[in-house]
Amino acid sequence: MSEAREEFVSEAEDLLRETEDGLLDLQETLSKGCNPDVLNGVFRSIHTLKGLSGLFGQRGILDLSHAMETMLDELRLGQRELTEATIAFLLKNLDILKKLLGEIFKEGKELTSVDAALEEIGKFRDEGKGREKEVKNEPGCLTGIPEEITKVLSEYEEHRLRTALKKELCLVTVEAEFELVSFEEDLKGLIEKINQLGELIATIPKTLGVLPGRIGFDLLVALNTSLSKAKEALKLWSVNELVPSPPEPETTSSILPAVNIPTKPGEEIIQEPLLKSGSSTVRVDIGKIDAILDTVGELMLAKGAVSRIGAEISETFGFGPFSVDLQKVSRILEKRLEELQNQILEIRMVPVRQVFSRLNRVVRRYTRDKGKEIDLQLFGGETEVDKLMAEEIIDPLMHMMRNAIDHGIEPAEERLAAGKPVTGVITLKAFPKGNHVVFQLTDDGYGIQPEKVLAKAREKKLIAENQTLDHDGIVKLIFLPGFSTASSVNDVSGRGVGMDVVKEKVSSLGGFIDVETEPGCKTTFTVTIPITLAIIKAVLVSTAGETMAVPMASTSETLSIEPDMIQHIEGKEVIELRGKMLPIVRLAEMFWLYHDRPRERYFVVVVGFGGRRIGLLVDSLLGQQEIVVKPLGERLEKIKGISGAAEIGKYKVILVLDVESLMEEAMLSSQTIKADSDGLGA
Amino acid sequence: MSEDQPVLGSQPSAFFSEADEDYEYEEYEEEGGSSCEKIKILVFRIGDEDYAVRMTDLQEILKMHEITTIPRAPRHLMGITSLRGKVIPVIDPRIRLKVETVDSSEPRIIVLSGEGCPVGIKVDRITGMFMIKPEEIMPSLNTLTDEESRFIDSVVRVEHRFVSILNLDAILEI
Amino acid sequence: MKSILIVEDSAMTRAMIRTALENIDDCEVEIIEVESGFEALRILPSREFRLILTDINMPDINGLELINFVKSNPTYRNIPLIIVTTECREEDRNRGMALGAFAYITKPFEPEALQKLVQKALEE
Repeated sequence: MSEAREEFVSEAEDLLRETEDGLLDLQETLSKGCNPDVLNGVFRSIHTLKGLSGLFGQRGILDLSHAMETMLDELRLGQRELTEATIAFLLKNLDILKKLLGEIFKEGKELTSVDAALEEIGKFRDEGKGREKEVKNEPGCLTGIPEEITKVLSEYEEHRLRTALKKELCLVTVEAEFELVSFEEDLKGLIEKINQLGELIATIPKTLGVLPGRIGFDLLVALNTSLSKAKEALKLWSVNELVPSPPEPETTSSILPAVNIPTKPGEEIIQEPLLKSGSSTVRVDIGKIDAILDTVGELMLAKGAVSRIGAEISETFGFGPFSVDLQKVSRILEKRLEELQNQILEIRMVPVRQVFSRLNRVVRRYTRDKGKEIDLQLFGGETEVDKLMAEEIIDPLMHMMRNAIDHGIEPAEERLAAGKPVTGVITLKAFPKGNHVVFQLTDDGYGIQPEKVLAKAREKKLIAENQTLDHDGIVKLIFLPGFSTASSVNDVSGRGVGMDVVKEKVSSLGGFIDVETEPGCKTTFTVTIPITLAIIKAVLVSTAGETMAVPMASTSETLSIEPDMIQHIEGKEVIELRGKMLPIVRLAEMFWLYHDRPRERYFVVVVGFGGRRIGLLVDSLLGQQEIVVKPLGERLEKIKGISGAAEIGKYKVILVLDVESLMEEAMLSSQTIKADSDGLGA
Repeated sequence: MSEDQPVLGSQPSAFFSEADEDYEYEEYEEEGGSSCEKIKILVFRIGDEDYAVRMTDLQEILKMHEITTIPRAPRHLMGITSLRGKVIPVIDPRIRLKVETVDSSEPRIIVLSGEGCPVGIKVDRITGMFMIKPEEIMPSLNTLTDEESRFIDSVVRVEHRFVSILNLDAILEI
Repeated sequence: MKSILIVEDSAMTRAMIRTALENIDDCEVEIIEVESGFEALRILPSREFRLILTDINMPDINGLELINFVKSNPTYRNIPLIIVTTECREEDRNRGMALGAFAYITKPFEPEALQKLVQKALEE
């Protein structure tokens, strides 16, 4: 793809995403009135897209975005009313734009014709014509506003001003002056304050009466609080009243749904960035960052060589000034490299809000299709996670969301019968936890019925007829491969549709998943994934001559044991750990590695969490190290028990264990043994 | 860099490492004419047989790296190695081609740009690069069993020896 | 060397304008691009600009406010401004011209048309 086209697609993609987010936001808050800032943002995105596609000669996108822009312009100028149907219509056309962009990306040119869409927009506009809300340029409306302000207002700003006047809001100008070099930050702070008090209509820079090296602004604001409150909040600046509002300011805010929409508790507060701080950001291909990370990885190896040579020099020639210097330098090098690595990792971080907004859209569509009323509540959008992780986690989360909508939340009549509110609530919370990010998805639906799960597992012969499990054990059966078949929708126990797939995906990301449920009440899935794919702390172990890495995140402790501490219970090897049985697995055996002779001492790496823990038996521990985990690539992804590889020392590549899948394998094999012996007994 | 260190391909533009200078890399001028479209192949030795791949499939040649074996992997998968920070699988073709190593004093890993990601195959010795004409390419022998012939695409005569051109799709399959 | 300031929030449009300007014969220009009105305000005192090309619809301050700022400031008032905007924003364009802009051009534009306008503005 040519660079220009790549640039075009990338910029257009961003604009479409902004448009989509804006439209969804409008859709969500429409019942409380139309948020003019968001609407204007949508208009701006489409406007920019139009300009962009025109310059790039993409006729279809140009025509369609032009038509949409005209519609949006009418909407934002109040010449047409924003309705649910209008938003849906715009979203539909947005999809066409996306399709066209996809064609340009894949085929190099637009394939779909936009004629039909244009015609539809024309029709849609004609139908709405009768309902025009505002006649352009109502005379006499701008009394009281000085001419030096009105003459610089754009059509849109003027419209906002007229609207404010019509609502009889108190209009003020806020005069502010800043150092020229740093005014953007300071002004941003002021604008944030102003947004709490009302609507910022225009930001007018002024030259007169300002000292050199400084810059002044007049900010035109329509207050929806009282003037005295605004003066109090902005006491550092001078606030001048232009048009007073009529008395009884108390009721003003309640009849003003359009401005500063109150957010429900728990609802994601999406701040419309008034100040697009685009000036200090760049868009970078993630591949380029990966390349830098790789280079740093190689630098790390080179640094290792430097310190090794340093050590050899002092060994051979004793401690001289040179060797001491060399060691000092190599320590500095090490520290700086670590900093560099962390900084690069930081660049890759994105807020999970990006994930949320994509989920939000799909969920809303899906919910509409299913005819269920669902209130999706999202928390912790600011939590940061590696870009790649964010991309990878969307699918599993989506899968779980669909499950919650399909099988979690009951149909309306059942909910009423159970004394629950008709609207089901699904909450998704994200929060950081050490080096991990936790996603918690809760629905207030059926919960998982253990009896039904158990019956289904037996029916599918996933467990032995007479095997007993505790509540948690039963619920976790939904993660077993083969448990779920997307049978029928009304099959209540069909909750686990594809949960094994979700689990596998999460585990391939180095994470784990857990479920808790209160039957009849709620179900919570907890997905924990590392913040970043790239660098992890690991315990290096050696067994049968092979060196391998066990991620620290899944390791709770390491033990040194003698062979006679291993006991045999029900054909399994266990050791006693603080009064409890810990099943152990010989890593060499599990991996079919050749073991030469029994040893006098073994080491055990305890992995897993809570009640689900096993010990990995290895020959020796080689210490802890930070490693850069590389994926094995698609050709090797089928290999079980290994999650990736890492380079250590002198071009040596070691394998990184996939603890989750090893544990599963260990549990499964012990289950089969048990099931077999049970079978023999019967 | 000491002699025994793997060549990490710090000069990606050159196919051969410094130690491989004896393989003359000659750029042939495109000769005019109809049937002069020539194909460049790399010929190497596995066991006592000669094999080749098209140069267009070749990404680079590495000195023998340390290969990390992967537990429970199929036998023809030798393991993985690092190619400038990227993990690539390395295949031992002897198992599939049913040959035994006689002399492996100069083993190399030839990295082929397989579908999607590069894959290395271990060869015992590099013979060199040759130009062949498309009409010189012959179908492989029918005496081979199905299983063996799967890995051979065709045969060509190079300097009085028969050289089998590998079927990369089959040989690189894991 | 003549400095020209481009104020436009779309990177693509900026690039197009830049290409057009760079291809003006016999005219060596230094082109400074900024993507917002705020940046324009900050960069204005840093050099002697010979021309400003500005969009109207921008996220922080609008182009009209920028034009007014330039035209009412004794230091800058002689810098000609060209409005680069889309055809449907007629009202805004007229206001810009009323505030003292030199000319306007609508997007999408022919590079030659822009080049001619710029040359004319530089001759002023």
